Amino acid sequence: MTGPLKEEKKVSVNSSSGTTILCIDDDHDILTLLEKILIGAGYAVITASNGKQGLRETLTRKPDLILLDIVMPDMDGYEVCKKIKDKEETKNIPIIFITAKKEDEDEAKGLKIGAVDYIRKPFYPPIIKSRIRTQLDLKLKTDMLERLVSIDGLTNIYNRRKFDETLKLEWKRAMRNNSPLSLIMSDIDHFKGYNDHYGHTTGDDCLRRVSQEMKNLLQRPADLLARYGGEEFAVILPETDYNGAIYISTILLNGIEDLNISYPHSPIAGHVTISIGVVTSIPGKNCDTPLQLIEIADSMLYVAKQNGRNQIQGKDLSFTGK
Amino acid sequence: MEEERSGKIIVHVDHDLADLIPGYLANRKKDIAAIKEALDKKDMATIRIIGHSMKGSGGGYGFESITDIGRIMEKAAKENNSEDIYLQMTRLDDYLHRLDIVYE
Repeated sequence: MTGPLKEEKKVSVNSSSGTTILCIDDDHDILTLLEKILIGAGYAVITASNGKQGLRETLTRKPDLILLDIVMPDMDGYEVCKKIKDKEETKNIPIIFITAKKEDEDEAKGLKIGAVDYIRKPFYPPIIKSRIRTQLDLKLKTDMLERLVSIDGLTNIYNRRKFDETLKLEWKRAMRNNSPLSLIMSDIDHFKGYNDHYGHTTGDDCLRRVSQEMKNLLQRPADLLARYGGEEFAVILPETDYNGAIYISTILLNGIEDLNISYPHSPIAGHVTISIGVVTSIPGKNCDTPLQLIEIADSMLYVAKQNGRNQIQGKDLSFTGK
Repeated sequence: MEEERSGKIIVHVDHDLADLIPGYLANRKKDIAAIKEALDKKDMATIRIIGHSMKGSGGGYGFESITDIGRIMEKAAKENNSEDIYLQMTRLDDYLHRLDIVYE
C-alpha cells in the first residue's frame, strides 16, 4: 500500500501570489498532485499527512485557505474542521473539503460544521483552481469589510468596536495563561477648549496627529490602540506587567509633548498634552471582568486629571489579592 | 480521456503532470502487491483503504479507470467479497501493462 502516509511535512515556498494553502490528506499521491496544481497556479503550499499535523500547521502558519480530506486515520477531517473553527485565531480560515465521500449527507455535514465548499474526488484541476480562487476572493472582501468596520473614520486607528472585541479576547487569553494584562486610558487635556478656540477642523487634525503619533510609538504588534470616544484613546497591552505599562505610558506622554502641537491657551503648557490612567491585573484573579478593568483605568485617568493633567496615574492589581 | 486501440489503452494526460505520472503508476504497482498480501490475510480494512485512495486519486491524474477500479474494490472490501477484489486487482494489473500515455 503506497497511498496513505506516515507523518510528513513539506513546505513549498515559491509563491507568486503571497497566498498560502495548506493541504491535509493522508494520501501521498493526492498531496503530490495538489502541490503541483497549486504551485503552478502561483500559491505557496504546505502539506500535512494527518489531522494532528494539519492542526499544528494551521496554528503556526495561519494559511489563507485549507484543503481538507475527510477520511483519515486517527482524526478525520470533520474533527479537524471543528477544532479549527473552535479557535478564535483560526476560525476565519476558509476550509474546503476535498474527499472521495460522495454522499449528499456527507457534504451537508461538512458545510454545516463550517466548510465553505466541498469538492469530490477525483477532482479536475481547472475546477479546483477556480473554486479556490472564488473562496480566496470572498475571503479578501470579507477581511476588507471586517477591517472597515473596525477602523475609526477620522483617525484611521481601531475603533471602539474593535477595542471591545480585542479586550474580551485578550482577557480570556490572559486568564488561560495566568499572565498580566494592562490597559491604558488617555485623554487629550482641555480638548474642548482647543476645539472651541481653533475650530473643529483643527480639532480633528489634532486628533489625527495625536493618534498617529501614539500608533507610531507603540512598537509591539500585539498592542492595540483604539479611539475609545471623542478625544479619549485606549491601549490594550497583553502580557505586560505594571512596570512595562508605566514605561509605555511614559513614552506616549512624552511623545505627545514632543509633537509640540501649539496650544497657547492651554492652562497646562503651550502645547497639546495628554493625561493617562493605567491599570495592570491578572484577569480572573484580582479583577473580575474587562469592564472592571476599564473602570479602574478610567478612575486612574480621573485622578491624573484631578492632579493637574499631563501625567500618568496607575494601579497595579497584579500583586494584590482579590 | 481513455481509448482502446490495437490492444493498447491510450490515455491522454495533461503534460503539466508528466513528471508525476511515473511515480503515480509505480505506486499502483505497489498497490497490487499490497492487495495480494492483504487478500491472503483476509485484511479487508487495508484493501478498503487502498480502494478508497485509488478512487480518489485516479481521475485527478487522468486515469478514470483507476478511479473505477478503486471504487469497485472499496465496495467489495466493505462487502467482504474476495472474488470481486481479485477481479479488480487483475484488471488493474492488465490496465497498467497495456497503458500507453499521450501527454498533451
